[in-house]
Parts: sequence; C-alpha cells; structure tokens
Amino acid sequence: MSTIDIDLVARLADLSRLEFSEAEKKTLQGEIGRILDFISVLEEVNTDGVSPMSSTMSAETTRAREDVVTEEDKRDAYLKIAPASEMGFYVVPRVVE
Amino acid sequence: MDLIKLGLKEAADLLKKREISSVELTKACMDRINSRNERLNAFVTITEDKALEMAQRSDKRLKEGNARLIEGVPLGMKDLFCTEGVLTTACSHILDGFVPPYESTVSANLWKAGGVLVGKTNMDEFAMGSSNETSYYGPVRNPWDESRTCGGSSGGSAAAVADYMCMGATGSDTGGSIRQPSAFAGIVGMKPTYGRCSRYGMVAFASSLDQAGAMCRNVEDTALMLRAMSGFDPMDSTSVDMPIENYDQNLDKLTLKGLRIGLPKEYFIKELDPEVKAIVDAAVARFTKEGAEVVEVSLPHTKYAVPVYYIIAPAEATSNLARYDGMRFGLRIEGENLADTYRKSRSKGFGWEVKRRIMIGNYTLSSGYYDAYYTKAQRVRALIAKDFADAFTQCDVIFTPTTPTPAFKLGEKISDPIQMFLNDVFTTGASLAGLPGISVPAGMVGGMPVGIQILGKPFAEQHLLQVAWAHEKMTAFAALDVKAA
Amino acid sequence: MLRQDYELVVGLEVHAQVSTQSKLFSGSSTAFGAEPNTQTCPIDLGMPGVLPVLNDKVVEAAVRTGLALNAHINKTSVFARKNYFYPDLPKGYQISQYDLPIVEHGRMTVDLEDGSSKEIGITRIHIEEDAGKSVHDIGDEKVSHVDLNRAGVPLMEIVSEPDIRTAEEAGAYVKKLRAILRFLEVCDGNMEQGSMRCDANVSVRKRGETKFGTRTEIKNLNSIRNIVRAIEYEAERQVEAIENGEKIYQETRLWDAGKNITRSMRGKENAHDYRYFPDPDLLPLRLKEDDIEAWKKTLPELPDQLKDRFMRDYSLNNYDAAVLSGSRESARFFEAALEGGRDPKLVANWIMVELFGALNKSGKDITESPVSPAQLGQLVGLIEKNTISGKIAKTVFEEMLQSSADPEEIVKAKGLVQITDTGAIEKAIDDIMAANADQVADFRSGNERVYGWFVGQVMKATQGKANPAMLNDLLRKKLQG
Ligand SMILES: [Mg+2]
Ligand SMILES: [Zn+2]
Repeated sequence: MSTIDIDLVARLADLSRLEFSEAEKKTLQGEIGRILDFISVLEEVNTDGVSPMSSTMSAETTRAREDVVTEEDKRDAYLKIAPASEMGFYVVPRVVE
Repeated sequence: MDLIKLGLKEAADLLKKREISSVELTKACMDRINSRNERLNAFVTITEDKALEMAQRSDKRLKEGNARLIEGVPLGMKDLFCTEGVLTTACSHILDGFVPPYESTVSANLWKAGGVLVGKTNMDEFAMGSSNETSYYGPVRNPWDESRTCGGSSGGSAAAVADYMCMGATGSDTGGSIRQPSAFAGIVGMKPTYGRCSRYGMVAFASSLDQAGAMCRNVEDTALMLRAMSGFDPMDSTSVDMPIENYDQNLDKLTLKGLRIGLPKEYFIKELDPEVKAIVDAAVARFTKEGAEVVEVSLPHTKYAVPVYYIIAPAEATSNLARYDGMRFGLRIEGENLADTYRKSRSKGFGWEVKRRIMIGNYTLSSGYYDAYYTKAQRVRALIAKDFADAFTQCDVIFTPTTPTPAFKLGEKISDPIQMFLNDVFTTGASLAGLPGISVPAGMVGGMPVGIQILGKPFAEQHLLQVAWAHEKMTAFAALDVKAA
Repeated sequence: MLRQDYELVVGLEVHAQVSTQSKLFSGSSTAFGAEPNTQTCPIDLGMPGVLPVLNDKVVEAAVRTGLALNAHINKTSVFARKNYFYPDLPKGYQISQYDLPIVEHGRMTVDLEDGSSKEIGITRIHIEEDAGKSVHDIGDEKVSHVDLNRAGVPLMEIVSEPDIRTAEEAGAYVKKLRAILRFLEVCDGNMEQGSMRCDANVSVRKRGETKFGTRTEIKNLNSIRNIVRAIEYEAERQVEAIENGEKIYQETRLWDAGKNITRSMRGKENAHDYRYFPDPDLLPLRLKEDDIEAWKKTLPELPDQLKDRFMRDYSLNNYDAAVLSGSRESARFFEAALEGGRDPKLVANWIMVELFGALNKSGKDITESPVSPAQLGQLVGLIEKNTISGKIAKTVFEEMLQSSADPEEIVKAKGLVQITDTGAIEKAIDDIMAANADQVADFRSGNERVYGWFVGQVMKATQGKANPAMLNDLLRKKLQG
C-alpha cells in the first residue's frame, strides 16, 4: 500500500492552487495512495529501449502557419466575459513582486 | 408519422423532399425534451429560440433548393464544445456563466452542414468520469432504467439520442467516453482516429487523447454525422490533412467473406459478465456465418492500459485546467490576496473528481516523480500501440465487448475511483493507440442494452462503419427502442 | 574594479523578440504600443479549447540565428509546457522548449577595447512565447491591471555559457549579439521597447578555484549600460558578503537603475517546480535539411566577416574594424565615405572619434547623422590634398554638423583654404621677425622655447590657414638666419 504523507498532499494542493480542509486532505491521502498503488503496476513492465510516446502522431512534424495577422480587435467582447476589468485592462488582485 | 423517431438520414431525406419541415421536426424534438428532460437530465442548456431560428433558416434553404448535407436536422451538442453566444460550461461550476465568443470547429462544421442546435448535453465535469455523476448539474438518468447511469462522460448525449430528443449528438472520447455511454444507452457511437476531428474549441481534458465523435441511433446516421463534423482544420496542429470519405454512401460495399475478425484473448477476462460475453460470441457468429474468419490475437499489455491512462490523462489535464484561475473568464471568488483568490476560485469551481485528478497529475509531473510515472507511462503507451499494430497484421478488425457489464446503478461506484476506472478497461487501449472504435448495440442483458466494440486500423473509419452496418443489417438491433414513455 | 583575488563568472540569458507580424501561436498582431488588450484573441487569452499553431517565420529566424552563431541545429525539437500560475500567463503555462531546443552548442567572438578578442559559448537557443504585462500603479492599490498584448509574442531565448569574466565582456557580448540579430533582421534589438531583454547569472569565486560560486540571477536589465553596472554592483556585493563571512543565496534579484543596486525579490515562492512536459497540442518540430540549406544561403555578411574584410582590405586594427562592423549602418557609412579612394584609417578615425562623439552628444543614431558619408569623405579629401589642415577640418566639421553643408562650400565661404603659397608665408614671417627683434635675438642665443611663440604669431597673422609643415620649414630656416 502506497502511502503519501500529509505534507505532500499539502504541497500538491499548493502547486494545484487548491485548498482543502484537514478532513479532505485525509481523504485525498487515502485516495491518492490507492490510485498510486493501482498505477504502480507499471513498474513490472520492461520498457528498456522503448521511446516515450507523447502522441500517436509524434512521428510527424508540427504544422506551421504563415506569419499573417488574421485577428482583429475584439477587446470589448473578451473583456465583457471577464470577472473584472476597467480601462481596457483585466483587473486582478494585486501582484506583488 | 412519429417525427422524433426518424433517423438523422431519414429526416434529412424527408426534409429535402419537403415532406416535413425543419421547424415542425425541431418543435417535435423540443416537445420531447421539454417533457422528458426533467427526469433524464440529458440537457443542461436548452436552446429553444436559437433552434427555431436555425430551423427557419434551414426551411428557407430547403425551399430555395440550397439544402446542405444534413439541412434542418436537430442535434445535441455535448457541453464540452464551445458554441458562440451559447453558454458552455463543460458541466463545471468554474465555467459559471461562460458564453464563448468563438465556435468549436466540430460544431461549426455541423452548422455549415445545416444542423440545428437543440441544446447542450450533460456530461461528467470536464469529461472526467464514467457515469455522469461528476457533472455540476447532476447525473444523467438512463432512459432504459432511471435508477441506472447512462455512462459517461458523454452520458447526456447518449440519453438524448436514445430517448428521441434529437437525431444525433456529438460526444468526445478520451478513454471511452463515447463508446461506453453509447453501449449503456443502446445506440451507436463512434470515436474516429485521433486527428480526424478538430479539437479546436473543444474544452480540453487530455490533449493527446481527446477526440470528438458522433452518437446516433443507427450506423448510417453515425456515418453521415461523422462525415459532416470531421475533417482537416488548420487551427488544430494535431488535425490530420486527409480527405474525408462519403462514409454514409459506401456502407454496403464490403464483402464479409474473408473478413478477419481478431478476438484479443486478454479482453475475455474474469470480470467479464458471462451474458455480455455471450452477446459478443453471438455477434461474431453472425459474421462467421457470412464467411468471416476468426483470429485469436494477443494484446499483451492490455492490463496496463487503464493505469497508463490514469497517469497520462490527469497529467495533461492538470496543465489544461490551469487556465481556470478566475482572472479572465468564468468563476472568481475574491480572496484576501492573489494566491487566495486563485485557491478559492478553483476550490469552489472544481468538483472532487476533478480536484483529485489535478492533484494526481501534479504528483506524476513533479520533479522527482516524472520519470517514474509520466515517462514510464509514455513508454508503456508505446508498447500498447505496438500491440495493436502487431495484431492488425493478423486481422482487419478487432471485436471486444464495449463494457464489462451493462449500465450499473447510479451511486454504485462513485465512491470507489478504482472500481469506476475499471469500467474503462476495454476502451482505454484504443484511445492510447489513437485508433478508431465504434460501439454498436448487440443485445440485452437483464433488460439493459449491451454493446460490442469494433476497433480498426488508423483512419479506417469507412471500413469500421461498413462492418458495423453489416452487423446492424444482420440483427434487429438497429435503434434499440426505448420503451416509449 | 573587482578585487584582484576574486574572479567574476557570468552567463547571460537574452530574450530577443522575433520580428514578426503575428504572434508565435496565433494570428494576433505584435505591433508595439497598441492600446491594452486590443491585440489578443482566444488563443492568447487562454480560453477553453483553443489551440496553438506555430508561426513558421519564427522557426526560420531561430535557425538562421543558430547558423550565424555557428551552432548545431537540432533536426527535431520539442515544445514543452512550463507550468506556473501568474495573472499575466493566461494558460497557466508558457509554451517553451526544454530538453530538446531548436539550437544548441554555438559560439560567438567578442572584441574588447584593449584590442583582444574572446570566444563565448552559446549553450542553446529555444523558441518560446512571451507573457503579458501587469501594471501596478493605476487605480485602486489593492489591484493590478493586466495587459495581454504581449502574451504570445514570439521570443528566442539565447543562453550563453558561463564564459564571461568581466562586466565589459558582458556588455560587448550583448552588443555583438544585438548586432548579429539586426544583421539577420530577426530582431530589432530595441531594449527600451523590450524587444531585447537580458537576465544575468552572476557569481564570484576566489582566483584559482575551479568550482563555481553560488549564483544569483539579475532581472530587469533593459540597457547595455545597466547590464554592465548591475554586474559590477552584484560582483562587489557578493565579494563583500563572502569577505564578511555571509552566505550567497541562489535567488532572483532585481536591478534598480534609480538606486544603482540589485535587490532580492522577496515574497517570491520557494523553489519553483515547473513540471515541464511535452506539449500534446503541438507535435515535434522536424526540420528538413533542404530548408536549413536554403536558409543558410540567405545569411547576409555578418559582423565577423565584415570585420575580417575591413582588417584585410583597409588595414584597420581589430578594435576599429569591430566597432565599424558593429552595425550595418556604421559599416555602410564607412564604406560609402571611402568612395574616391580616401585613406581608410583617416576615415575610420573621423567616424569613430568626431562623428560618433558628436552623435553621442546629440543622442542621435548614425542613420540620423547630419553629415552624409559623401560629405565626410570630401572633408577627409580636403585634408589629404592639403587644402585644409586637420585643425581647420575640425572647425569645418562643426559647421557641417550645424548646417549639413558640403565641406568645400564651407571652406570657400569662410576662406579657410590653407596657405600653401611660400611667398605669402615668408612675408608673414618676415613681418613678425622685423617687429620682434628682441625675440629673434633671444632664439638665436639658444632659447628654443621662443620658437613656439613665433609659430603662434604666424598662425595668428594668417588666420590659422598657413600650411603647418611649410610654416615650420620656413620659420626655422629664417630664424636660424
Ligand atoms: Mg530563462
Ligand atoms: Zn525564457
């Protein structure tokens, strides 16, 4: 049985920008542990000399487009669906540097 | 004439002959939706005004003799596809109120072919689930038995089509999300080869696996709808630049004599319901009677497909879901500062299943674990793809059950993620290998429909549809009929 | 100056905006200076379901830059996602290249003021998209304003080896790199507009030490002057810290050009875990040998080739040749001024000392020079023909800067033609000697210092126009009697 410690759950939550109650963290600890168990069966597969496959089309080359401007200014339509905007900007909680 | 029971192709033909109008057909579907959706929860957004507007425009074109491929036919659109001006949420709270200012290529293709949008269908949140129980808008109920799931993630589309709410619906399939719900609903559902349908504007779950497809009540309809929605798209770098055949026109052009049907021995496992197995055997027997041959093939890495899938899909999803941050669209819950706003918006916006997958994805991608999980999974994925390539040197198509059991009860598996994952055991392999697959109704077990899955070589959509059509002709299972309610 | 017993080690990461019409993965415009968020589309905004499609011009630019930097071009490179949350990063990841960049293992020679040259390794060049911009100083102080016009603008990140040992070398490296990018027309090199940005990885170590010290990364270096100053400051700071027994932390520091210091970016999260993985929305970028060959043929004459030619054909020294080949405009100016067979060394000197000096003072670029190459050539021609002296030439040049007039006209109008008529010079000498018998006697009694006084008097009498060599000749003869 894989176990992951509760600090790792907290670190993953931080990387994920998610927050959980202590009880939820406990639940996740169990669920993630069981899932890691389930996927750890891959350890038994011999993959020596096998290249990782990131796409079923990875033998091909990515297509490229011509350098042409095809978009027009639709700022109003995009800002209209933003949670907050003013003066043509997206408004977000202050970014500290 | 019971308009709602018309197939897509049948309806398109009658519309062209002007024996029916798109407005009356659309109204019939709307009536059905309005009377049944409260129970089944197949649609999360019903676009009645827009549908009637589109139907009127179609009637005009029909009248003027400018009818296009599926002019005037009512369709459901999985809520995963962005529809310009129409709420699109992927059934997640985080996309609360999101009305896209752009259209997905698949839906655009369908509108260009004359399709009429009746509404957006329910689904598991961000397509993460196999029972539609992770939807923010609640589960879909199976029209065959409302205590059961209609599968997932395209459960809403499956229920809508099976229950005569529309003539066809789009689905998306990442690990089986078209094929499994189609099997559970007694309809036909096809996932084409990865790259056949554009992914542009389809809310991303796992980019290297996601593929749109068609769900209809018979093979010919599925062929026609797939023809209308697929094709090369310069907006999707992984879309294939290959001509689309007139799938619906060539269905009868296959001789079954000598067709080599591969049966992968690893798929006939102990978890497989014996009655389900009997249904597959019966389907195979229909073909051998017509001169097809059976070849036992081996897909030795079958048992690793689900674990590989549950590494790759969450890893890609973690990254794909990072854009839901409350800054530019969708739900924002203001916090005390930026980090707090991110956390609150995402924690309130995502459901449990999605959050757990984000956590798993971040685990397997993070430094120190990446090679052991992600890279390893990609290597095993290559072996799984090779298994299929090897098998297809010995056979033309592969027959398997679509699911190990008929539709299970709502609530039965939702608390046990592993049990839920195992439902995908027959569908994830082909997804990882990018192969086309179709699920067709093949019989009943305990009053519930059961499907068989037919898998083919890359880009052999036409061939698969011909085999599926031949099966349909040999059975009484075209459009397994839901007891009219 | 850094203490003699310490050595500075610097590696530079330069982000160069590739000159394109549209963004790296979308059809939005990249024009500079637009109203906020008017050059965005769903792809730049990270909206659900939209997908990136690569701009082919950027691939060509990266390959040509790699070739110009004598680098290896990877036939297969892979786009990867660098995952982190930031309000100016719409997708929550930046599409970049990680373990398989498009270019690796290059090198570049920089020329230093003392006439020496130095080779600096180029680790890699990768293609990536820019982020947007957060503005912190408008409106409510609890919020920031985000402009995503820059989000998705194509960049090449050019990473050097830690081969740089002085701040001067760092400045010369960036200058040379900018020149190459401009020669290739792949980047306009405009640092104020942010089309070229530089981060410096700086560490120090005791001389003789083989291990690198702990490095800091300095960001926000928006001019060559600031790069040099920031590195100088940071090196001193680190030496002082080490000497005081303090620890150097691996951290990101910001250059504060107002205060002339680097400061720690506190409040930044601990160690980043970017969770790089290949972007499944983009297939590997595979280049064809034919394309690479075709691009190779489009390479212009580059600064090093120009420099070699200037040294070979015009016998310029290394440093002068390097400066004049440092931009296409200065090279073009130099060669145009040579027309008519002027002395290259004299022309080079006039450009580098007088013209560059004047342009610098007025904050002008060589393309805005009030003096044309032909005019500068004419001026040098007048000196060569002894029409005017070098000293008068400076006066004429001042006038040329003001009026953009031809030097010949100025000389004529102001009567500045040199007196090369021995009779006229002799007469002036005779007059002065006659009027100053005492000084003549003084000289003849052995006081050599009076000689200079006589030169001055004759020049005054001829309004400075006497040919200095002739004057010298005649004066000495006459004084000696
Ligand atoms: Mg960097
Ligand atoms: Zn960078």
